[in-house]
Amino acid sequence: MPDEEIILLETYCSYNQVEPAFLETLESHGLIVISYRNNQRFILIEDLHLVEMYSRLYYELSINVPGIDALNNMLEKIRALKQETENLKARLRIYE
Amino acid sequence: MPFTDYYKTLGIPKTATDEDIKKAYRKLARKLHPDLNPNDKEANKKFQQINEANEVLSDPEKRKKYDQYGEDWEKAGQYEKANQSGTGQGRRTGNPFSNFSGGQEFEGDQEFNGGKYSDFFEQMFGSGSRNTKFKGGDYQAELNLSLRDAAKTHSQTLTVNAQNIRITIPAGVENGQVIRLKNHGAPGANGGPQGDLYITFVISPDTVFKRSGNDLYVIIQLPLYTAVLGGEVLVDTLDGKIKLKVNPETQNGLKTRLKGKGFPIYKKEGQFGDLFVTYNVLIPQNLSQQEKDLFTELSKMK
Repeated sequence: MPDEEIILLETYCSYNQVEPAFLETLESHGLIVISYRNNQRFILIEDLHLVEMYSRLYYELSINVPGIDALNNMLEKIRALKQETENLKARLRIYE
Repeated sequence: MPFTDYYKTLGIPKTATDEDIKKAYRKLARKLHPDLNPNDKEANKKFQQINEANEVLSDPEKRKKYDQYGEDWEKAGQYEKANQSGTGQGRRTGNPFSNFSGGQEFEGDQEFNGGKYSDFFEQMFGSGSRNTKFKGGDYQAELNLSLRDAAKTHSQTLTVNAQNIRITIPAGVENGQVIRLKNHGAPGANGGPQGDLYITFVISPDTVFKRSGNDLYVIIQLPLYTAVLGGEVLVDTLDGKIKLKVNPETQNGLKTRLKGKGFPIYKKEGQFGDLFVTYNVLIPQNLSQQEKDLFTELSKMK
């Protein structure tokens, strides 16, 4: 994996004032991936927007990580349902 | 400029304690937060309103001033002006919702404005001030494409805050599909990182083709005689017209599939969905007497 696709976990935490323990909990719930190289921990750049969203939910709305996990599942379901609705609308238009 | 009742916004009485305010705000924030209401403009608007109400009511000084002037907010503006000239402090601009850093901001098509306080708030309190670094808000934009544009990989240049961004749109994008352009959102507050730009593709309906996923549907008008006797018809595809053989005794409404003649599959070069052709058999009109006689003759044969 090229270096530019990862960011040192400690660097991210220090810059964004996020506790490493929070990211570890996110990882233990399977919400993000932490990669390990040379005894250092990294988070994937492609996961950053998720980490930011989870941080907002955790720090700003006081939702704990199991709650974030549940919300994440619900949001996924909503996205899938919206997509299904769009597909059905597209199919309906065929018969209009 | 109307008076804004911040107590009403949070659904609390004027006698609410700091704890009541915090609780009411958190409850509403959990309901309306943009991360939990993606692409919901109404929720985002309400979220900004409760943020503003919380900004005022959770700050003892602001709350005192708000309670003191209430509906006479115009006097508060003069008070603020006098106060500022007295202390030598100017108004600050920046991300007003600095207590909620990364919430998405939903704007109209192709508009790229940052989140704002209401005029009422700015009149009374200025634009707010905090020193913590926060990421700028995310921008939302819609990009309208025709079905035929969406069928080919092409580039478009968008202007965001006077900056041109060239994006490549891969063939096969779906209606409603969202892409994220990192660091093209609102500037961060106090040196924080820039937000992101989310672009939603809106694909307008086509007059010839209907699309469902990667498949295309087209209706062709088939003359009665071709339907009965067989022949050839020209069918529109995205690449132009092709000849299609029609079997004798083709029924009205019959659907036939042209494999690989549909919509390009997103990010799968060289792969396409199918094209479904539905025959709409045309009954001849304005028949001559001779034609009528022949049809009568035909009907007697059965």
